[in-house]
Amino acid sequence: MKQSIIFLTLLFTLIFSVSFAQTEAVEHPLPMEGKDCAVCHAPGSTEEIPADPTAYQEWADSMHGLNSVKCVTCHGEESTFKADSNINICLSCHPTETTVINRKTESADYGLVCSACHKVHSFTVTKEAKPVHTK
Amino acid sequence: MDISRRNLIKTSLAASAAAAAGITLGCKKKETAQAPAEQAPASTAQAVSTQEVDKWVKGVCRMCGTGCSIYVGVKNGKMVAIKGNVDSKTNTRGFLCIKGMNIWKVAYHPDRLTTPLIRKNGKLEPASWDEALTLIETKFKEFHKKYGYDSVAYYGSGQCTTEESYTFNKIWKGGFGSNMMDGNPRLCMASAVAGYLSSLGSDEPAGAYEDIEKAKCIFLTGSNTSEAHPILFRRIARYKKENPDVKIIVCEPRKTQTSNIADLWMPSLPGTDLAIFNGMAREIIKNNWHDKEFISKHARFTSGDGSKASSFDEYIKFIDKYTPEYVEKVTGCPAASVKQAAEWFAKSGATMSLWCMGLNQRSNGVWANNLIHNLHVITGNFGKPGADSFSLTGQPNACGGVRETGSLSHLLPGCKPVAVEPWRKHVESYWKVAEHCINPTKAINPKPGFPAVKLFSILGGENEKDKPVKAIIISTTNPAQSLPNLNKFIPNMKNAFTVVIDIFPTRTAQLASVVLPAAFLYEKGGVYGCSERRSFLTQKAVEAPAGTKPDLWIACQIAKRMGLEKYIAWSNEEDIVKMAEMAWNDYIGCTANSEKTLAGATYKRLKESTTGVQWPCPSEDHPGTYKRYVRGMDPIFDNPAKYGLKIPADADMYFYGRPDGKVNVFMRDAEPKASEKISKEYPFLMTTGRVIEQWHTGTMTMRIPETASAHPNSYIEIHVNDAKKLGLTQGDMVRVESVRGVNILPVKIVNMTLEGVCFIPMHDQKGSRMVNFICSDVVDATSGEPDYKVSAVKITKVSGPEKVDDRYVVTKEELDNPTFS
Repeated sequence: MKQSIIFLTLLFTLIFSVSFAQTEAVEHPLPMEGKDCAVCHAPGSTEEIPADPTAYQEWADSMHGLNSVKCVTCHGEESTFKADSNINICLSCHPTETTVINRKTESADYGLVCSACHKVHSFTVTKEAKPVHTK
Repeated sequence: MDISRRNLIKTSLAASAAAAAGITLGCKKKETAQAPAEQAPASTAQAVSTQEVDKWVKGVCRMCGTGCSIYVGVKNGKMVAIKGNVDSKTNTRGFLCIKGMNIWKVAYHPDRLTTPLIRKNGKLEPASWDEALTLIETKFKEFHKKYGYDSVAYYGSGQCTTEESYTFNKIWKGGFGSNMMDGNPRLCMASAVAGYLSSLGSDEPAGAYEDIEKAKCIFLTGSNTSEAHPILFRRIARYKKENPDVKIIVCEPRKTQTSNIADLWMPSLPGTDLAIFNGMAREIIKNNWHDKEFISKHARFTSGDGSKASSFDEYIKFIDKYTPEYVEKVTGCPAASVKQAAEWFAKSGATMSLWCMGLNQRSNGVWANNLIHNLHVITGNFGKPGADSFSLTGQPNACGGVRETGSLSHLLPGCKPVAVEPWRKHVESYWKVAEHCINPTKAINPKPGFPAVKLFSILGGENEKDKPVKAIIISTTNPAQSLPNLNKFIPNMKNAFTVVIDIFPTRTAQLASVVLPAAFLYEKGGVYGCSERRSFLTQKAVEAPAGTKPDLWIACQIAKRMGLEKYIAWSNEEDIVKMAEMAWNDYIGCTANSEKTLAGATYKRLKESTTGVQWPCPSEDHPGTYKRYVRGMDPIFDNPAKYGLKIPADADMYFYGRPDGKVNVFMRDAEPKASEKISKEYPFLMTTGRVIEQWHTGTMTMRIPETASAHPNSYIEIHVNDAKKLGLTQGDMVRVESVRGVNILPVKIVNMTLEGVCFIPMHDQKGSRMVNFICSDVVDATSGEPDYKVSAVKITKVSGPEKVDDRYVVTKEELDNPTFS
């Protein structure tokens, strides 16, 4: 019984922290001063501290980039900024996949978030990811 | 210990979501130079997990004309989330854009109007509904008596539900015997309506979105689909990715994101693309790529003014001047591109054209539409999978609510002109106008009323003798920002007795005599019909805030007070859902014998359907129609006499809206004679349009934090070479001036527009950044649609960069003091 409680507590902590990390809203590292994300993040930025141009380029080359699913869609704006997105943001546009994911999550087969398989920011579909969406 | 592993995980997920919400609320705010506009409270803005909602309620997106189908997540009687509908035929697989996924948030914005307002001594004072409606009744009756029934107007919207537009239309045309009613679709797709009517004989496309995935060539022109219709763009982009051999041609003055999927981008100076279309036709015929059989069966060649029939030989002579070299000279589009586009258009096997405001909002918008239809006729690109001439619509219910219900000054339900006597008599009889009409004529006026721009130009105060329209109800639209050449129309709205129905303070509400606070779409429900003839029922998801009322209820109260209680049979119904159902049933009965029949789309069926219904749909057991004018697909062929039509028994394809069943191929000259021309003083061609994050006049999208942040203010895009000539660097503030008005805007220097062409988005509410002060109010002579896409401007530097990302919205406090600076 005692072992079970310790196990459950550890499991709870683990899942809580994983989920928490995925939904945490944080302060944007620098004041944005009303600038568009691209000003600092796009390759070739002339700002003093250019930020992660690789990620921006990956996004620009992805289907999200092609379809103008821009930074704010997943990361929020400055007052609602999230370093990581969460499944509920994905849900709005990808209801089929997220519904199946949720079912799996609920049954504890996976403690997954979309980006575990669809790597940010290219969102390439990996072979390993496919079984997740089979009902 | 009775904690199952499953429950534990569920609990932990809920706990993490709550923790996340706490963090969101606690997020530290930084000091900003200018406080952004108030945003929706964080408690409603937070995302929730799928397990947390009490129910998902079916509906359709409130924004553009794509008609994305959604589910609204409701918890404790409040909207908390939105997700796409995986069964959808429009937003296939349930995709949504950033506007759609956030739209529910606007309902809880603190700027929501929740009490009627009456202007007293220059100030809008809170009033009761009874007081406000009594004042409207008194004024309307007084003006009807003093100035006649045409002195009271209605101006509606492609965002009202079909039930609402139909009810207002019935009140005005049959109840008041006045056609003095129009709607904002006049500003966006009236040219498409007139284009379909004059070429094909019946409004709205023959095909549907599913032609996208069947096409071999897609011709996008006058449309930045990637931003104005992002979910359709996604469909096209995905299809292109999976089928690289499909040719995509984009013809636009700006090399936008849309052209990123294109095999060919055809630049064209604003206003000139008709020459490209005629040039493509010339190339097609010259190279013998035309479809001779289709032409002989389905084409009627017609003179440029439409007055007389002509011949194929005359048509060849007419287009002969549009050589690729001539086209290049006129439009800026390389001659080789015209040849290439012509070849792909004609030879790919199935070509679908899609266009939007770039063709419609033009002084020759109807002709531009005609010339696209021409290309489809001469290449036989009608009636087969993947081939269609498809006009994209800008608003979610412009097609269903305004075009199909005939809620424009010249139309009746079924989208048939008031001037057509047999149909007018049918509507009079169906509505029992002779019995109920309060106008002594006891009839629908056979003479059309005035289209929007004309209507607002003759609107005015009682002391203005040259302005015969004295009162207007404006519902769900914002003409004090969306009309062109605003300086001309703002005083008229201010001087007249103007009633505004809206959910937020707007530029138009600032001019109003009475403001009525409306319910939001998901607080009332109703039917929207999108670009592809598909009607979809949004079900009421939540209660409207105290003090607000659905437009349909408001229409019914006006009807009752004006003596039309029995005429509008649903005016005494208390339940808004039942009220809407009765209005819908009345509407589908009225149009059951037209080719736009939705007789089979009963409310019960719409409630159960997760895909909606495409007209013609004559009976409940009919699945709806993907392709019109084709025997075996279009139910009109089964019983043409029922619809007052004649279709030869041996015709497999027949354009039954035309007397001879053939499509008009018009010899329309390409020159935009009425459009404004550049001059030494005004050397730049200015065009306007949308960005993906904002919609219309920004009254909703500028109140959603994410969309406001992504596009917080307007700007002017100019070519890098023009910037050099003007000595401008990125972000400099410039004065943009036409003969009509001025804007002060930051510069965005780009290389994706043509030299000499500048672009200003249309969404900003700040007076000094409202582009419509600059826009030309020249209209298309046939459709009455303004020429928003072509204005001549001059640009001069004012200062270096300034901070203007203020996400400006009109607040309640500013309702009494409109400052347009």
